[in-house]
Amino acid sequence: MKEISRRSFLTGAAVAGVSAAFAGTLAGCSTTQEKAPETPEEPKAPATDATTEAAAAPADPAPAPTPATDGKPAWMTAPDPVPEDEIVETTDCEILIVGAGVAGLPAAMMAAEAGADVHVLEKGGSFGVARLCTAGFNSDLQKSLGLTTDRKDFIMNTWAITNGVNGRMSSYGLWFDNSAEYINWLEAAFATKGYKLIPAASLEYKITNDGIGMAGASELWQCYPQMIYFANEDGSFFGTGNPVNWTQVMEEYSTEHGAVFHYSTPALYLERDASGRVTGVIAKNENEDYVRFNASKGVLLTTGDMAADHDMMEYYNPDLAKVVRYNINQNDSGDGQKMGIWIGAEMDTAICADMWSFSAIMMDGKLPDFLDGTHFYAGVASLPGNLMVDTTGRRIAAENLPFQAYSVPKLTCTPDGMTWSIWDSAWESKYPKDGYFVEDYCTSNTQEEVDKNVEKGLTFKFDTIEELCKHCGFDEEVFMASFNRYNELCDLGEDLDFYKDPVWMCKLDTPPFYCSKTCSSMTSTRGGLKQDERMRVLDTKGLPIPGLYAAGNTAGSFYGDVYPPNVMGSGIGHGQCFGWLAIREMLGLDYIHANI
Amino acid sequence: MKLSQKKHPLLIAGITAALVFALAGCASTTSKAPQDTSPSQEESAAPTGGTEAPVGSLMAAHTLGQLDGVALEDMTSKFCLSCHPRSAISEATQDYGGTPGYNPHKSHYDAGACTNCHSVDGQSVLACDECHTEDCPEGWIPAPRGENPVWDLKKAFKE
Ligand code: HEC
Ligand code: HEC
Ligand code: HEC
Repeated sequence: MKEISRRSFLTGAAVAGVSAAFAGTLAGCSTTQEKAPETPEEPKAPATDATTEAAAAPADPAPAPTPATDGKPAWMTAPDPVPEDEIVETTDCEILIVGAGVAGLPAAMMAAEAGADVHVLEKGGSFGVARLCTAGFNSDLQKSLGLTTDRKDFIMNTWAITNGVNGRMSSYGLWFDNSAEYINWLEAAFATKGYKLIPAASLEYKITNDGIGMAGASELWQCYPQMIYFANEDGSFFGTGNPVNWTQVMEEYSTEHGAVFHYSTPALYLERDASGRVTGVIAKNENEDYVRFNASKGVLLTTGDMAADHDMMEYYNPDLAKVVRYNINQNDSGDGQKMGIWIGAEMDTAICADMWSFSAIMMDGKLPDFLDGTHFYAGVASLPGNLMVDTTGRRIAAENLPFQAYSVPKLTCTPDGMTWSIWDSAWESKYPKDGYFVEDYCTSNTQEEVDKNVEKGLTFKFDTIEELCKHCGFDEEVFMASFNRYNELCDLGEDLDFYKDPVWMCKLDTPPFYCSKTCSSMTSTRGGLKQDERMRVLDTKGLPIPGLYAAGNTAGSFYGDVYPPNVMGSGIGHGQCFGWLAIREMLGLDYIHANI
Repeated sequence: MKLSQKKHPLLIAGITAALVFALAGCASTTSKAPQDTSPSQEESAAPTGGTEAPVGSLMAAHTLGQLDGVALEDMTSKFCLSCHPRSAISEATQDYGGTPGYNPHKSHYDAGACTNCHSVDGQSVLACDECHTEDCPEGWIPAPRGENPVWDLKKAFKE
């Protein structure tokens, strides 16, 4: 288990009772194994102190929170309310958005554009980092390019791939139906700023193997043209070396329309009135003064995921403890989820993560310092023609699974989330040229790159498979059985164990043999506060908490424990759309409602 | 490559005087005159590195005694921001070191207190380099590489 950084804890939950809470956190460190969330408590408002003017006590006033002693993780306990005389400022507004990231920003744009009095709180010093893309279906732009998607086909296939969707069944339909209007609106807003949107499927450029027209792609690839890039007016975009800082564009658009952003201002906890309605938050501004925000129409939680709080993340999905490479910044410590939990909101019981399956790792368990964030695979190590085995030497899955899908067995079926990738010296002549990219988003798949990595001690080269087996520390019996079986299946021309496409069943028979170890990498957790089809956060009885909304990685009721590996951009796509819908819901603007 | 600090020679000349103030450990932040040059120092008083505050430290930067006698725990962001408004410091380090969009004072990262980077009288630390590879200003050192992957901000791709 990773150590909690004291500073990130303090900024995440620094309140009057910080020392008590901190002791609680440390004490709670050992409780992560206790997986099953117990029967949640009755909802109770933390800020119902008699001195708190905005929140007269509801029927069940919260007792002073005590550090976890009952086996409940410390982060489940609400902080003590800030004494009223320490709150230096109160801001009244209509809509409060907590978190200026990829989901909160479009919500801020929507609210400001509609003329609402909107304030945005952000813990970091600025808005969130612009990511790869957004996503949606059948927008005017997509339709004009002939990129249409059939609703039933998309939903049925996604359900099939994700075991029926563990989230709310109607979530994908709600996203599908409203995404066209969201993308149309986004395109128009970006046009006013001199930018445009480009559907990825309309470009020659591909970030990685997407299965479309690729030799030997798994039958499980079900591709839809949902991915959409942000581009400059002349069509240049990150793929041509001219990235659009689209989160900045969103912030500017929001500001120009009247939204007010407060940076370095983490929200600490939600406040409620006597009826239980969420009225706003107490936050800490960059001067470290406590401030109150009251929002008459609602509070939208878009604080991101929980990967920066390992205790919390591992509580909801212990397998994620096996992830080595967390591609996150440290702000995402589940703040929104926690604030919801503290007032009795219900969390998803199963969460997943957006994973990258083949991140390079050195023998000492460290990430290679000569690779950087965007080029983090070892050359050739991720190609589907390799034999991939876990650290005991056991083959665990078809190596040609759709993008990111290999990460699921890699986490659930191995002791440590690691696999070894093994190939031979004839790989280049054996692997289908139209089955992979030489220059991929993640690496260069060339012999030259392999040689370089051998020199750096990231990839290893052996004359015999026995030496390789020894080096990797495999159980000899387990590995030799896997290796021989794999070669037999290659001879047979059919992978009877996992049904990898025959074009990728390339016998390992040409020494020297290469191997490279790969760990699991993730961008963010997927799972959060349960919500209904109007983005309202639900309490433990399944009913909406008035005034409280969530979207993006803070919200639940979407993925369950399987991230659909083939629907690239689903997180940003539905997260943005749902943040936008939450604002429309608060303002009484129309949108397409789900049939539930 | 180190970025050179555009320092006026006069400021450097003032360092010694600033140090004298610092050593005094006096409580008043407004006092400009040295009152006591005794080297004895409270635990909580702004420590000094000896006779010379390193280039890049706050003691070296504040030539007019602005920080003299201010206890370490009082070197809060609120205190710093009262003289250096956020808008001013953000503007000063926009696209810092020539990297578009890179700004130690306005970033996605929750960098915490000013003194997390600006050392009072020791070596200042570029906290961003826990994950990035940006060049350090003169006298600064990069934060130790964390467990997180390294991100070269000069590259265009984003996962
Ligand atoms: C009483 C006002 C005041 C306070 C408080 C103050 N400063 Fe300054 N600071 C100044 C002035 C004036 C200068 C210009 C340099 C000089 O002549 O001292 C300066 C210079 C600096 C510089 C160097 C500027 C350059 O051009 O390189 C840095 C960095 C800095 N301050 C950071 C801080 C930090 C961090 C804090 C909080 C610990 C702080 N300051 C508190 C007034 C203040
Ligand atoms: C992430 C690290 C970091 C943090 C946190 C940080 N700074 Fe800086 N600051 C820098 C760097 C880097 C420079 C550039 C120094 C140079 O060029 O010598 C700088 C420069 C400055 C300057 C000089 C600007 C100029 O005019 O050239 C001031 C003033 C300053 N910082 C004040 C602050 C204050 C006040 C805070 C807290 C609110 C703060 N800094 C927090 C990294 C940081
Ligand atoms: C804990 C790791 C970490 C720290 C510390 C960190 N960053 Fe980052 N930063 C990242 C990651 C990861 C990305 C890229 C994420 C992505 O695009 O996938 C990033 C991206 C960026 C970008 C690119 C943003 C864009 O929109 O293209 C800038 C600029 C940046 N960081 C500035 C900073 C500054 C300034 C600091 C210090 C105040 C800092 N970062 C500290 C992890 C970090």
